[in-house]
Amino acid sequence: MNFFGELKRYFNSQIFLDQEALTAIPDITYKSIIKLPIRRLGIVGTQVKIVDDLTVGLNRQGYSQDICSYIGWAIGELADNAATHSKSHPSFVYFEQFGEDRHFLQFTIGDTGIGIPESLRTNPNYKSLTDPHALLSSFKPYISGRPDRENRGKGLTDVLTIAMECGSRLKVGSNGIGFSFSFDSGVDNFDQISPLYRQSGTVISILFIDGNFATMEREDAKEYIDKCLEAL
Amino acid sequence: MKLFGLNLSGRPLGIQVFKIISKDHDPIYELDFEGVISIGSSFADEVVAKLAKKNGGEIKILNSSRIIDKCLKEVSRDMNFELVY
Repeated sequence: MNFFGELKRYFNSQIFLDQEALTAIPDITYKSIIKLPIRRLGIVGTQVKIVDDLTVGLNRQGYSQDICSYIGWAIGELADNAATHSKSHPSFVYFEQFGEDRHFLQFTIGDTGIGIPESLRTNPNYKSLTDPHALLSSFKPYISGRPDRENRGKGLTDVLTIAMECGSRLKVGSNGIGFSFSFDSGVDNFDQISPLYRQSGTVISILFIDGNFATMEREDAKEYIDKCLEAL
Repeated sequence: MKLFGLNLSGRPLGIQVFKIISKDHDPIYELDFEGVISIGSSFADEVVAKLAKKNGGEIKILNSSRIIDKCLKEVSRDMNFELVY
């Protein structure tokens, strides 16, 4: 499977030039100013070096310490998830910066694994969830494909909480289902969208905006996802 | 902690770091986050929570940023240990 080519094709058509997403954010310049090469993840700790290089560079360019911390945290959780749940299939990360006057950074992590719904249903408690319900529920705390006694299922919740705090836009696509969550301009929007990637696997993309940050907890993310589930 | 990376994330890496710290150092543990940019909750589960348990249920944290504190507070609530600043 030409994952690299496929991923690039979807980046070009749906992620890079997501002008509809960008137009809702005041003052953004559509022009992409930096595109970093796609990097492969998956070996233990690979993401640490990649994220270290990125955040040090962003810091030098004037990005705040807070946004660098959020980005590092989010990538760490997603890279860990991809490596743990994609059953040893390769995963990749890609970064792109937007804007000249303000600081916007979008990153995307994609893997070719079994997909979030399938992974979640390996836990008997979630065996009967439909694909859309499983994908959304995976963002709630303590919902994981791993046995409940392991106290897992916090990574995606933390990523959603980070997106809420940063006023970000988050898109997730897995096994033919896609959702977008947007928290910019103080308004929460949730939509079911065409998946970012149609083959087996998961792609998650987050647009970060450096600026003022709200304070959110995992419980806020849970309440938000409960509302999304009601709206399905 | 900076010796292990500026952005500390991932459960497998956390397991390795816990082994190194607990092998080379005895309690009482103090974790210095000077220069560390971020930490992930799965990494913190494996390192901070487990060291705190070996340390009598609490652990001293030095030079942590606002976002690192936020993550550590979630983990301490979740794994039932105390953070000391």
